[in-house]
Amino acid sequence: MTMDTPNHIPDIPQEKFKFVQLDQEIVDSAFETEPIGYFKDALIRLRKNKASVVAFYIILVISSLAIFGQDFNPYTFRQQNPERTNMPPRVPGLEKLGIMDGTTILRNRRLDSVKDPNQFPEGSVIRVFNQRTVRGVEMVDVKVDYYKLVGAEDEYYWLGTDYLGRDLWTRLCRGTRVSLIIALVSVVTNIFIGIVYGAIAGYYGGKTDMYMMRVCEIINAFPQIVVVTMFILFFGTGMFSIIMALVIRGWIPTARLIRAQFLRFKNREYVLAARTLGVGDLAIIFRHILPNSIGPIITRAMITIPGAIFSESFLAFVGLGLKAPEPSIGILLSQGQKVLLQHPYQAFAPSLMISVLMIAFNLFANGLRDAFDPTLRGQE
Amino acid sequence: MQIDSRQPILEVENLRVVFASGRGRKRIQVNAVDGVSFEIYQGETFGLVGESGCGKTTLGRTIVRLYSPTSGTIRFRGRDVSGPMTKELRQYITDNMAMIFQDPVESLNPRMTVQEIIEEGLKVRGIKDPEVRQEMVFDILSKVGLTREHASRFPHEFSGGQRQRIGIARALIVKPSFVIADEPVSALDVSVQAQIINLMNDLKSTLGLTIMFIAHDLSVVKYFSDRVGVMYYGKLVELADSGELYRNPLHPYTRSLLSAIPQPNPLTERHRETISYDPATAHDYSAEKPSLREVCPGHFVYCSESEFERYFDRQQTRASMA
Amino acid sequence: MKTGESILTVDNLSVSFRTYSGIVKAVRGVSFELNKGETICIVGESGSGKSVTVKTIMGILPPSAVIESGTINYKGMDLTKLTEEEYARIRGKEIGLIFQDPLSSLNPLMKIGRQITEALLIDKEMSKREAREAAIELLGAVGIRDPEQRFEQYPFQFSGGMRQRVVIAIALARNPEVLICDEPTTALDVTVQARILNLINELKQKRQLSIIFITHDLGVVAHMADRVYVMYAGKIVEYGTAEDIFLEPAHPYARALLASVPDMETEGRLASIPGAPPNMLHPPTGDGFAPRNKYAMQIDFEEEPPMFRISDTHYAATWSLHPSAPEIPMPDVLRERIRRMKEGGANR
Ligand SMILES: Nc1ncnc2c1ncn2[C@@H]1O[C@H](COP(=O)(O)OP(=O)(O)O)[C@@H](O)[C@H]1O
Ligand SMILES: Nc1ncnc2c1ncn2[C@@H]1O[C@H](COP(=O)(O)OP(=O)(O)O)[C@@H](O)[C@H]1O
Ligand SMILES: [Mg+2]
Ligand SMILES: [Mg+2]
Repeated sequence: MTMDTPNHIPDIPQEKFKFVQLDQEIVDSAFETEPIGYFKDALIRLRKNKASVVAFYIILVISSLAIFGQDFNPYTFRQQNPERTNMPPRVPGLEKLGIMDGTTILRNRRLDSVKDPNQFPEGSVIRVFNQRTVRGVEMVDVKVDYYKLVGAEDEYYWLGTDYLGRDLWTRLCRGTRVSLIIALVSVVTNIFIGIVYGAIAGYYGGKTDMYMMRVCEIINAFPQIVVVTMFILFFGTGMFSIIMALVIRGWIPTARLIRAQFLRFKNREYVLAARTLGVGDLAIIFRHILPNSIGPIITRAMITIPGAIFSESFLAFVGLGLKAPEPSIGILLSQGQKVLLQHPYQAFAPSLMISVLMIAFNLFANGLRDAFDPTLRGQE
Repeated sequence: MQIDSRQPILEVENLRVVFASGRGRKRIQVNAVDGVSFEIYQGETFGLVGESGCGKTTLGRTIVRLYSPTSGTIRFRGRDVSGPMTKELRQYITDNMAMIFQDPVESLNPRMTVQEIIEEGLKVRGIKDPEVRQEMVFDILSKVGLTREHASRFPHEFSGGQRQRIGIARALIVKPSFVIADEPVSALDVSVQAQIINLMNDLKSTLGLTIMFIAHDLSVVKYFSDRVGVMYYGKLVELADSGELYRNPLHPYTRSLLSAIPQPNPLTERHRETISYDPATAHDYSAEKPSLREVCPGHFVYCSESEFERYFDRQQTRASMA
Repeated sequence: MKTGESILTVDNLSVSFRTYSGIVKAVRGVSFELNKGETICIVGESGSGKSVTVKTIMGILPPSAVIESGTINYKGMDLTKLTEEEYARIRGKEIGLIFQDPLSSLNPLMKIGRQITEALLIDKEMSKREAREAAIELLGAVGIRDPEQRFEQYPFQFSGGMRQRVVIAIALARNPEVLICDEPTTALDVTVQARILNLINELKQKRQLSIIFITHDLGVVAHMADRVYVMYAGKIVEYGTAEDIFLEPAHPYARALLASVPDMETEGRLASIPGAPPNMLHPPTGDGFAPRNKYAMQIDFEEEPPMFRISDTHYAATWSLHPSAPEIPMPDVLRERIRRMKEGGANR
C-alpha cells in the first residue's frame, strides 16, 4: 500500500495556522460557470452531430436556391418558347467535361435527313451509329449537339427545358419554393391546431379528453386520399386547398403528441406547485407545460416537413396539384415522368431535389431530437 | 410542550381518498387514505411517517385540495375546505396554505429561472412592480442561504439541497400560515438534510408557521416534530407526542419502524435486532373492529378493544415504574 | 491495517470527464485497500466521486471518462490496463456489482428466472437444467419465498425490496469474491432496508465475500462497516476502523458529517454543514473542505494536507493534526453523542 504516510511532519510556518473565517458566515458561493440556457445547451449538442450539421447546410443551400435561384438566369418559370422545347441540360464549364454539354441522342432518324445540312446544320452531328435498314430505308441513331441543331449556340439551359420550352432550372427553383411554402404553412398550421387541441384534451383530461380523442379517431377513419379528393373537388385546386388537404388530417399526430406531453407534465411537482400557489390554468399551460414540450414540438415539425413535401408531390403526381403554369416539385416530377424515356433529365433533377430534401430534413430532425433530449442535458 | 392554548388550525375528520381506475370488471379502487382523523395545533410541527405508498402524499395533497376527498371533512381555522371547489375557496386555500415538494429535480420548472420560479406566487397575488418582486426574491433568497447572483440561474445548475431551498423560498414568499412539507429531505444527502431542517426550524419561528412534516425517516421526524402520526396503508395507526412515541411505541408497526432505523453508532448498531411486522399475524380483527383510541392523554393507537386493554395495562405499569 | 490479506488495492486513482464546459475532475488521487472477508464503507455526499470510483473498478466508465493516473490491483492484475475481453472475465465472475436503482438494473421484459440463469450460463459450466436449479436455490438464498413460482414472474410483479433481492441474486450468481454495493438501499424504505442489509451481511458470512459498500447514510455505515473511508470532493480525507471514525473523527468534514445526523436522542440545533459541495469543474485547492469549514486555517486554502497517522489503523488528511495547529473543538452534538456511545448508553 503506497498511501502517503509521511514519517516526517512537513515544516510549515506557525502563522499559517490561523483561523481565517472563524467569524464569517459561510454562504453558498456564486457559480463560477457560465449559465447555459436550454437552447444554447441544445445547440452545443446539435453541433456535435456532424450529419445534422451537414443536413442543416444542405437545407440552407436549397432554401436560398428556392428564394433566389429563379433570378440566376434570364428565363422565367412561365415563359414558353416553341423553338426551344425539350432542350437537354447545358452548363458552361461543365460542358467541356462532357457532361451536361447540351448533347442528346436522337433515335431512328433517316440517314439521308441526318446528312441534310438544312435539317442538321454543320457541326451539330457528333456521332452516327446503329446503322440499319428498315423496310428499305437506312435508319440510324445519332448523337447531336442539340444547341447547334436548333441554332442556339449561345444559350444555356442549365437543366434543359420542358415540352413548352420553359427553363427547367427556373421552374425547379420556383417549384421547390412552392413545395417548401406548402410544406411549411401546412406544418405550422398542423402544429398550431395540434397544440391547441392536444393541450385542451391533455390538460383537462377525463371526459373532455375522451370525446376529443374520439373525434380524432373519426377523422382518422376516412382514407386520406378520399378526403383530399373530395376537398379539392369542392374547393378547386390551388395552394389553399392543397394546404387544407394536408392539414385536414395532418394535425392529429401532433395533437396526440401534445396530449401525451400534457398528460406527462401536468402531474409534475412543479405544475402542482404552481397550482397550490393559485396560478391559473392558462398560465400553467403556457408557462409551465408548453415550454417543456418545445423540444419535441420542434422535432415533430422538422420530421413532418419532408412528409408534407412528399404528400404534396404525391397529390400533384396523381393530378391534384396546382394550376398550370405554377410548378411544384410534384408537378415537375409528374411531367418529367411522362417523357422519362425520351428525356430522362426532365425527371432526374426534381427527383434528386426531393430525395435530398427528404434525407436532409430527416437527418436534421434526428439531430434535433437528440439535442433536445432532456436525459442528455449538460453532458457530452 | 409549549403550546398551551391548543387551538387547532387544521382538523381532519374521517378523511377518505379513493383512487379508481378502469371500468366495469376491471375497475380497481385504491383506498389511498382510509378514514383518517387528526388535528394540527397552531404553531406546532406535526410529523407524519410511514413507508412509501401508505398515503402520506395523498393526504397532504388532499388538504391543499390538489386532490378531492372522497368523503370526510377538512376544516381550516374552523372553515370547511373539503367542499366543492370554487374560485373563492381556491383563493382561501392558496392564501393560507403552501406546499413544499419532495423531489428536488421534479419540483422546479427546468425552463424558468430561479427568479421566475420564486416570484410566481407574488404575480398571482397582484404585485405588479417587477422591482418590488425582485427585492422580495432577493430577500427570501438570502433567508434560505442563497445569494442574489443565484436568481438568474436555471434549476439544473444547483445541487439537490440548493434546489430544495429554492422550493422552500417559493412556498414561503407568499407568507402562508400553514405549510405542508412533503418529504422535503428524503431525496437529500444526510449531511444536507440537517441544513434544510435547521432552515425550516428558523423560518418556522421567524414566520410563525404551523408545519405538517411528512417523511419516511423516523429519526428526522422525531427530531423535528412536536407530535407524530404513523401511517400504515391509508390508516393512522398511532399518534402521540414525539418523545412519547419514541419512548413508548405501542402499535407493533411503530415498533418495527423504530427498530429498523440505523443509528450512527457502530457499537450498538452491529448487533441491532429488527422487529418485523406482519398485520395478518399481529392482529385478530375478526371479532372486534379496530378504531383509533386514546390510551393515555394525547397518545392514540389504532386497536381493537382487547388490544386497547393490553396497551393500557402496559402503559399503567410503565407509569408506575417511573 | 496489516491485518487481513489485501484482495483489491486502489492506488492514487484519478478519473476525469471531458465535457463541453470543461474537465470534471471527479476522482482525484484516491487510494484504498480491501482486505479478504471485510466490509469497507465509502461515505461522502453525492458528487464526491464514489460511483465513479466504483465504475472505474468495474471498467464501466462512459466514453467521456479518462483515467488520468493510478492503478487498481486485483490479484496481481492491474484492472486499469485490461482489455475488454479480459474484463469480461472479471466483471460478475470475480467482482459483482449492485446498483442503487433495482428497477433500472433489471430487464422489465424478461422473466426473473431467465435473468439469473443468463448470468449463470455465461461461464458455460452448467447445463440449462442445472442453471435453473442453481437460480432457484439462489432466489431462496436471498430470501424470496416460493422461488419456483417467482422464477417465472416478471420484475413488475415484484416490490422494490424484492427486486433488490433479485439484483443481489444476479450479482452473486457467478460466485464473485468481491461484491460492490453502490447505495443499494437508498431507494428503499427503512424496514426493507434493514432486511436487505441483514441479508448482505448473512451472505457475506456464508460466502466469505469482501464487500465495498457505498452509502451516504452514516447509520448504514455503522451497521455494515469494518473499516470506513470518508470521501470529499474526489479525495479520501480520512479512513480507519468504524470505531475510529465514529468515536474519534479527525477531519473537519468527517466531524461535520457525523454531527449533522440526528439520532433518537438528538436535541437542540443540528450542526449542519454550511454552503454547497464544490463544483468539480473547478476543484478547490488545498483542503477541499476549507471553504465550508468554520475553523479553516490559512494553510488549508494553500496546500493540500498529507495523510497524518493517528493510529495504526486511523489516518486523516487535515492540517489540524499538524503539531503547530491550534486545538479545534468537536461540535457539541457530536461530543455529547460520543460520550453517550462510550458509556454504552446510546442504545434504547
Ligand atoms: N393519482 C393517483 N391515481 C391512482 N392511485 C394513486 C394516485 N396517487 C397515489 N395513488 C396510490 O395511492 C397510494 C398512496 O400513495 P401516496 O400517497 O403517494 O403514498 P406515499 O406518499 O405515502 O408514498 C399508493 O398505493 C398509490 O399507488
Ligand atoms: N458521465 C459524466 N459526465 C460528466 N461528469 C460526470 C459524469 N458522471 C459523473 N460525473 C461527475 O463526477 C462527480 C462524481 O460523481 P459520482 O461518482 O457519481 O458521485 P457520487 O459520490 O454521488 O456517487 C460529480 O461531480 C459528477 O457531476
Ligand atoms: Mg409520497
Ligand atoms: Mg453515486
